[in-house]
Amino acid sequence: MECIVQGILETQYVDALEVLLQGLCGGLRETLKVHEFYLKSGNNMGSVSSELNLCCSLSGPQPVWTVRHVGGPMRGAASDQLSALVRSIFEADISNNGLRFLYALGYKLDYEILRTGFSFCFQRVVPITVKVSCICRLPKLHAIDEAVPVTPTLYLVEVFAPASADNYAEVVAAISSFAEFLAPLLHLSKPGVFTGVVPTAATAAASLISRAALK
Amino acid sequence: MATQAQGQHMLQPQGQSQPPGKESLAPVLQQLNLASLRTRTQDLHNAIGRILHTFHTNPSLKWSEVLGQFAMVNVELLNLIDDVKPILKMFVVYPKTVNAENAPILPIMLSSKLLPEMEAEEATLKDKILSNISNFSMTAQSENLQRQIESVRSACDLAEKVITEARKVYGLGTRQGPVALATLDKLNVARIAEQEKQLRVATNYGEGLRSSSSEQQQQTTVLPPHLASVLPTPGDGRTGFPDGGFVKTSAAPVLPPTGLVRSAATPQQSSVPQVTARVQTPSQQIAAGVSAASPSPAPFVNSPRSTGTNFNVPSPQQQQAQQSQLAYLQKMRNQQNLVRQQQQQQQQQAHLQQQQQQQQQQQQQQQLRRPATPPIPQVGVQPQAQVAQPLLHQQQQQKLHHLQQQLQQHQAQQQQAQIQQQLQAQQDRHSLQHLQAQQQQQQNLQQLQTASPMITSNTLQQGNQVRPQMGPLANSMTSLYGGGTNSLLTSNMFQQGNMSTNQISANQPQRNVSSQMLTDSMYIGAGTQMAQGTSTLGLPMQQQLGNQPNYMNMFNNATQSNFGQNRQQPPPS
Repeated sequence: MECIVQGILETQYVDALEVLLQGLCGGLRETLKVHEFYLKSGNNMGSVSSELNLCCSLSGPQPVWTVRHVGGPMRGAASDQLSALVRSIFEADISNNGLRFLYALGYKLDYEILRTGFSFCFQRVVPITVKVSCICRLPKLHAIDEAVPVTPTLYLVEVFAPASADNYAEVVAAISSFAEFLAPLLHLSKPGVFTGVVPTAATAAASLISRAALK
Repeated sequence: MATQAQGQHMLQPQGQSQPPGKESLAPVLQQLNLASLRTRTQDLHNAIGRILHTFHTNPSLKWSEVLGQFAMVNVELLNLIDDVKPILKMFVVYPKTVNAENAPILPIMLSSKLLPEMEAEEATLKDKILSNISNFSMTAQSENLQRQIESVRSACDLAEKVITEARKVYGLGTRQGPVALATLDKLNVARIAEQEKQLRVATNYGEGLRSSSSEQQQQTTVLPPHLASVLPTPGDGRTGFPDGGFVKTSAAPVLPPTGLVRSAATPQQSSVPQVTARVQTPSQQIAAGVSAASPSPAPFVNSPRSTGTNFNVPSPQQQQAQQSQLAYLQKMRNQQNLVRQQQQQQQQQAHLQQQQQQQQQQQQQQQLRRPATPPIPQVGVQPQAQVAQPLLHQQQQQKLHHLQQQLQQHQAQQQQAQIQQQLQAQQDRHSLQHLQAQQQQQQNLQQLQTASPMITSNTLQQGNQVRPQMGPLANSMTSLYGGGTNSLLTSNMFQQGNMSTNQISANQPQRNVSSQMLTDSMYIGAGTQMAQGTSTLGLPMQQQLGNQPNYMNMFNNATQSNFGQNRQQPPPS
């Protein structure tokens, strides 16, 4: 299970967010470049379709493939009061012929995206990961070099942390208290809830970027 | 407060030793309201003490609370000082006595001379200003100076006005912090909202990212390097390969896909090690463990489809080789299971084809050349293709059926030997890994067994003898799966019936094998019970929340250093 919140940020303020995260998270910045395939099962696999997300991380010298299954979110009155979305998730490493294998099983490619950006990971009650990424679509099949951002002026920011059934409330609290630090720049909410931009983003970004010596 | 800091000083009205102007002091003293001053001072003192106490004891403080408390205390102090200051102007403080405590500092405090540096500064300033106008008369000089003072004062007033106005605009002047601004006009807001919606639905649901399949298939693109080695070329046949809808590749060279089985007339180095070298090391071990007589990568003549034989039954040599490798295999993750099964099946098929080569050499020459096929040799796929082969002669079919039966009998005996081996190994180790190895292999065998009726669709005449033989074997397999109690019960039942079956099945060697297997299963059942008790330990822990030492302190320190606008400058990037 994981707890996740999402937010948007204008592209011009992404550097400021990086500065802020560097200060908060201790500088463990990792570059993100992930080619994600979203696969949907075909008719031969039963009446209920399932979806898988196959991710190929191209940021290292060798491509690293992982397969994820994103489950449905937790529902109910308790989940409505939480400020983050809690959903089940399964993730595993897979060898580099995973795509062929899944095709052979009967999965078909639903859509694919390329995700570029950076991520920070730090420990606060639980390991929290912050991913700041630009989502690009591939106009031609598998053509990574021709990736075009879906929204050139907006970046997507995701903050998530793993959780289990008995400690998800604390994890959500940790995520929301971390989100307060990012409040001057962006507003984080559950995926699917539209937030808009924050009006203080410009001033906050300016103060973060400025290199004036403080007395 | 000055009065409290210097303990022994006394408050005395300005002027003479006697208090002659007491009447003039009365309204001042009324204004003073000493009692309220005293209580307010005491309250302030208590508040500061409380705040300090919370600093020392409370581990989780937030900046907002601390700043709020500081603001409160500050306001209170300023009010006190404002109230006292006019009164203090009427009084002067001087030390009543001199003693050891204040002797060193007293002359400094009472002196009115400036520090040497300050004196020097003031002297230079004076010289600068007065040098210009020292020639003039006194009044002129004083007027000049007055004018200068006026101009400076007006400049300062103007600057202060501008600053306060700017603060109001940006909402920084008030103590409550910045007020929400409407700096984004409606057009911007609408545009951003629309883009946000687009981005969020694209990430979460993939809207707007799917293009129609017809468009895709018309585009031939060059695959990026991480895909070029993975996806098949368009030259590979599509006949048995349920590919995912949009697979279109370029002419980039492609390694033979995993699991391609090719038999050939001559035993040469197999393609399997080539392929598995790309995938995983345990599969390499399997390939290495497989005997050297393995098929070569000759192009698709005598491919699995062309023979139409039942090559899914594993050969005895292969089973033994597999068993020796299984212990290592179990150290890999469970998601590799299916891939490994495929490889095992391929190798079994390779061996079977080699055994059937002599019978099929005629067929090879008559065989039409087939296009390159990339079969993922799933059991479900190939039999369908085989059935569609129109070129088999019946003589060869019958030969193949005989061979098939022999192989099945072989298989049954080998299973018995295998189970005995497993029993011994289990008694030695009692490890879950071994159990999983057994289960996996039994899965393989069960799959093959269940698939073999499909494969013999063109051999229905002799199939009737095959299927009842499958029955007890399948039962024994499921009993080994199904847990200890089941196997114990079935084995007990069969044990009683053992003697009878031994007599009846004199001419059916398979039944003998099955009964022996079931008696063995009784022992194995006990073993499975024990092993299953430990099954929970072997499950991989997906995520472990680490211990939680006191990270809060560390993080608070980090935030205190950052939040108070003492940000470290970002490293030059």
